[in-house]
Amino acid sequence: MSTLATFMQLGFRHIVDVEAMDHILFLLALAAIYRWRDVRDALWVVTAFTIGHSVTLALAVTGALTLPSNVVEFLIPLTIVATCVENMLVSDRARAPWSGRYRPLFAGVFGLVHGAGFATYLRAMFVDHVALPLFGFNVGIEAGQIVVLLAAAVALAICDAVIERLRAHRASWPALRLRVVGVSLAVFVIASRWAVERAPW
Amino acid sequence: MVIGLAFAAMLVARMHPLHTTMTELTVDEARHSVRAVVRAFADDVTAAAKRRLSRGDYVAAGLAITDAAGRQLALRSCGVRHTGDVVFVCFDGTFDGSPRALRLADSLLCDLFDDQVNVVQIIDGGERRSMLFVRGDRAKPLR
Repeated sequence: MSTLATFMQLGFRHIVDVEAMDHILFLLALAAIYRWRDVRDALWVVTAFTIGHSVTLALAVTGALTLPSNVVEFLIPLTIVATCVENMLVSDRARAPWSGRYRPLFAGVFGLVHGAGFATYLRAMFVDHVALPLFGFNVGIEAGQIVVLLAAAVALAICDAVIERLRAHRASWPALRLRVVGVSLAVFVIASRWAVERAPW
Repeated sequence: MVIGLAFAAMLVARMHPLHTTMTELTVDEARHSVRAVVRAFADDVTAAAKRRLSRGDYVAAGLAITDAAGRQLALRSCGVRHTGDVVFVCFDGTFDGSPRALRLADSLLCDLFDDQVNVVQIIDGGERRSMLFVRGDRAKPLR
């Protein structure tokens, strides 16, 4: 197998591993507010996240940026918590600041943190010949993200269908809002525990 | 209900573990020798070795190179070094016949972690190739 294919596989496995949920839950929290018709907005957010983590991954693996791993490991669940809080607080995106168009910006910033997490993983293992493994790993991560987001879209659609069936017809909250709060609350609880466990103090 | 599910998930969900080793395997056809330098996270190897062997012996046991006759090459230690969180373990071995017949299995730490992924980069006659091993993988030809 080529080095590129090997590291693509490694990056893919790193994202889709269901036993290790941090990146999966972050993507789920990011996707929780979108419906199929919002796919363009969702793509902007995911693209910004990708750019963010690619930048820090490259900087950190090549040694241009060094971040303490205990701080990075603490910041990753905080990005998930912050995404969930934003999901729950902003009930009307049309009335949010800049009509809610700040999400790609914060997805990009949070991507910087997640990229530093990936880098901690890669840098320890590579001393030289880093370019091809780095590129392959990043491509694998992107492929993994696409799979996770497709799975999230299906899960969220099922969630919507269940909510529609269960909720009272006169419920004041629309199904989307119930889904966003429900998913975000669940992810918030899990990520908060991780943040407490990984607090560097 | 949502909170209940979240608390249940909280008990089982884990943040990303980093269960990978990286081995650089150099094949010298003229000298009929191989050198393997294994890079692994020191805490993982220590946890695994506690179960039975010293760290060097544990790493050697997880890396199996066999020749055309199916005999396992005897690997001799050529040093252990620590750099940060990573331990480097070096082994040398010799083989009879052609390197084309050599096969490699890398099951390092697979006994400890279900999601262990071991990458091997093979440097052979100036060419560089890679292999990837996960739990349950059998030996693969080097060429």
